[in-house]
Amino acid sequence: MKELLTIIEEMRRTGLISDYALGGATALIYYFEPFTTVDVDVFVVLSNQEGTLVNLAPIYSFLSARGVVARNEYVLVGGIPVQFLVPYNQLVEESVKAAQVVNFSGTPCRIPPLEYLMAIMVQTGRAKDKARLEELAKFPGLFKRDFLESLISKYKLDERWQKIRSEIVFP
Amino acid sequence: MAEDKKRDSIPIDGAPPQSFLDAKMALRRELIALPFEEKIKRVIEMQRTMKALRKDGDREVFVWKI
Repeated sequence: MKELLTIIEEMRRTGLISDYALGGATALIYYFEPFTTVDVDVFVVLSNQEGTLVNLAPIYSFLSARGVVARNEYVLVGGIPVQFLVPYNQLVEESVKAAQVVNFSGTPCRIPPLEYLMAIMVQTGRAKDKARLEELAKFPGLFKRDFLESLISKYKLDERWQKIRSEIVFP
Repeated sequence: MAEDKKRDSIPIDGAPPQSFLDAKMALRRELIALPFEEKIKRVIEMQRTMKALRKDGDREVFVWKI
């Protein structure tokens, strides 16, 4: 994990990416209890990206030069399957911008606030997202309800949120 | 005999005892409060267990390195 975070920081320091944040299960584990997951999702904002077509080739060249190998849909960094992704909508973009820097064994690591992760779960709406939202609801002190609802409203997720709440226990 | 049976019986329907639920929530709160690095170590332990239990044909299990 430390090797991955060091490589991402190097990408940022050298200007390959202008910003990044961990996403998905790994980011959630920062706030919640540990659970099994396969890969680490890393959202990267590329520097010097022109036009609307996203090209991740510079990322893969950078990794390849450091001996990182691809395996199926992942790249293996220090034994960890990693997916480098670009923020695919405004909510994810804002979550990356809002990310806080936390410490992982002396290495900086950027993680979005929990309310953003929850709003993304609402937006994505997979079965595992609903299950995670229901578990998070059992620990209401972990998140700011008002902030979550403001994100849901801002990104027009109200209808989706009401539907999810009718399917899970989320008081 | 009847008393032994009562003591050894495990309820299979209805809600679990409140003491069990309270203990479970207390344990979950402890896990939530762990530092990030410790949590990732727990994830790795779970991955090791899954890998040990893996059978032919199961999805590949990756065991992270800290």
